[in-house]
Amino acid sequence: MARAYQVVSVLFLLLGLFVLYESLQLRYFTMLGPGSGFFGVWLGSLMAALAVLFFVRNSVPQWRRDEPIDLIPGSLAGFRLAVTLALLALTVVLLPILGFRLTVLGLALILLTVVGRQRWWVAVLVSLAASFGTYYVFSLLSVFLPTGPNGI
Amino acid sequence: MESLDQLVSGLGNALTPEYLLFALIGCVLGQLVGVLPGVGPTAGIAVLIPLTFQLDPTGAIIMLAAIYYGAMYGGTITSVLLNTPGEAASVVTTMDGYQMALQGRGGVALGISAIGSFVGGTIATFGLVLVAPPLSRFALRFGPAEQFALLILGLSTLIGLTGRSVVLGLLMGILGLMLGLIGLDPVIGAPRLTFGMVQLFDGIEFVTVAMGLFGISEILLNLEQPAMQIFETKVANLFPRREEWRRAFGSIVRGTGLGFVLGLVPGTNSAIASFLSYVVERRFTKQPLGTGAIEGVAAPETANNAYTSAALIPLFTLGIPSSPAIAVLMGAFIINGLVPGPLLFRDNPTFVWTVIASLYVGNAILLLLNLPLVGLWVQVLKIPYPILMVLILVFSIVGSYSLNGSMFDVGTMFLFGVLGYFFKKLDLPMAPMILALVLGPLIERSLRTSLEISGGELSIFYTSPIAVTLLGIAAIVLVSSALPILSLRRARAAASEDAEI
Repeated sequence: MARAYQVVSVLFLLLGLFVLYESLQLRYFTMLGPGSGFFGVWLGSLMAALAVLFFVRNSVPQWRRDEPIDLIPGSLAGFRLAVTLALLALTVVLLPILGFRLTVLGLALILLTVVGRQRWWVAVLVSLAASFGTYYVFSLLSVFLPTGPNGI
Repeated sequence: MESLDQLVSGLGNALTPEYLLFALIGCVLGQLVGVLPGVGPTAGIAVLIPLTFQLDPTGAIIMLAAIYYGAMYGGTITSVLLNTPGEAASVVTTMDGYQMALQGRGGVALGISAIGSFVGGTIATFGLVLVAPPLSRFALRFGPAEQFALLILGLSTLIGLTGRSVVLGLLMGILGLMLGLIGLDPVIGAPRLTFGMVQLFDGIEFVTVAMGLFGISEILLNLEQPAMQIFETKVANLFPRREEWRRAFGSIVRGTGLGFVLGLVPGTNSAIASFLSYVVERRFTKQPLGTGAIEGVAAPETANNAYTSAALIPLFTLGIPSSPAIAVLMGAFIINGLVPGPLLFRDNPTFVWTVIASLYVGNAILLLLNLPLVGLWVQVLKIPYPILMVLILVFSIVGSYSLNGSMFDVGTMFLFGVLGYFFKKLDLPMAPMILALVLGPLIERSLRTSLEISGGELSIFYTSPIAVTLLGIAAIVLVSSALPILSLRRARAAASEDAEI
């Protein structure tokens, strides 16, 4: 866990320095008072300082936590996770092109069969309800979701 | 008396068929959220916010508040019958509740927890009626410096009491404040951290962040869990015997008091309330806890519902959410054009008193619904998780898209879902981050206004007795949390903030 927290510290440090740099490009103080960059300069500096402190804390043997951490999932869980993440990314790309109903139909079918190992007929029924059913219900609530080719 | 008059007026509004229906729907959905393992109150409220987009603000908050406290009732059912807590506050209920179920007294456990929850929630709501108006009148005296100090105190308490490391809590809090920087500067209008993306000019939508961090991340984590085994226990004899009534009475009284007091403290959560009340009961019960003692069910269930109602006091009066679930509720207030805080009672009295009155109505609905629906919730638990996962995912997509009709928000939600997955894996506390995201713009505005008034002099913060007191308390909270002897480490270990989520 200490090694993972060292990496986390470095990421926080980089983020803090980035926000500090970006905020320094803005006005720190104006005639009226604090400018757009004022809060960001302080937040960036504080984060960078705390990140260094956190790194030190996780580097000194007496202070660090050496509990094991389960960061990488097993092969089956990793496969499910990878498929799900890929599907989520695909959903963002395909939803404006194919529309809500077709995209969600595909997403749900693959999730239920490949990740969830459900029977095909269960997957089809649930996917139809999740895609076409949800679209219909929300159209009744005046929430209009994207449509795809031929208005589907 | 004025408060009681307004409460009666609010009750009249809350009992109109429309608001009664919203409270009923909220209670049922809340119970569903509580029943389903892996969907805590925070994720539940965040994912269900879009359902309220078409409602008026009062109806929307009535429904979301009902989801919030309904989840507390729902979590009990699976704790008692299946030894599986639906949400964190019900974890300790499994210890005696499930033992009671094994002894054929599951019905009594559910009955006493429903009654205790009703009593705790109702008395705490009465406390809200008494405490909130004078507190909000007092808070009306606050200028920007005092408001800044108060917001820092709220954030510090949360950081101090959650997570294992104060430094880590501070880092996550600052991360939330940084996310709040994104968008156009509220005073000057200059774009900040937008990278030229027009979609970021209005800032990051709070709801998409909450849905990602709490909803999507939970789905990703559950992909690593083995399928849950469901088994049934028969439920009969819902009402305790006379001797059990006598034993449970004291537990309900103690649970109500403890839950109410903890609800007033920002940074605590309902899991801490139920855990501490269980610890307190050890001193009072003759039957050892963990062997099916009714006190071990009555006290924590009462405490977590008393906490739930009392936690609304800092939100309504000071604009400070005391837990992640309340922070999401505060986000819903803002979406509906309402800013929680002292001005709420002055500017929107009808809204406030209708919502408060609806808490009574909701508690009564839950008492009536809780037991008849037990069979239904057990059936719901038989639905395979992959199906629930797909439904939650689809609902999240619809919810994030419908905020602005933009795929950008859907992508943001997924991104924060992945981040939340790693945050949970690394035990990084998300509560300070989400609270800071909500409070960030308010903190920045009050800080900048204070410094504008003082011409850049920091003396404005230490010349105001209220501000210096609040900032002093905030410093004490942070320092004391960093010292292991003074920290609430034991309570935290059993009821961590992530469990609440």
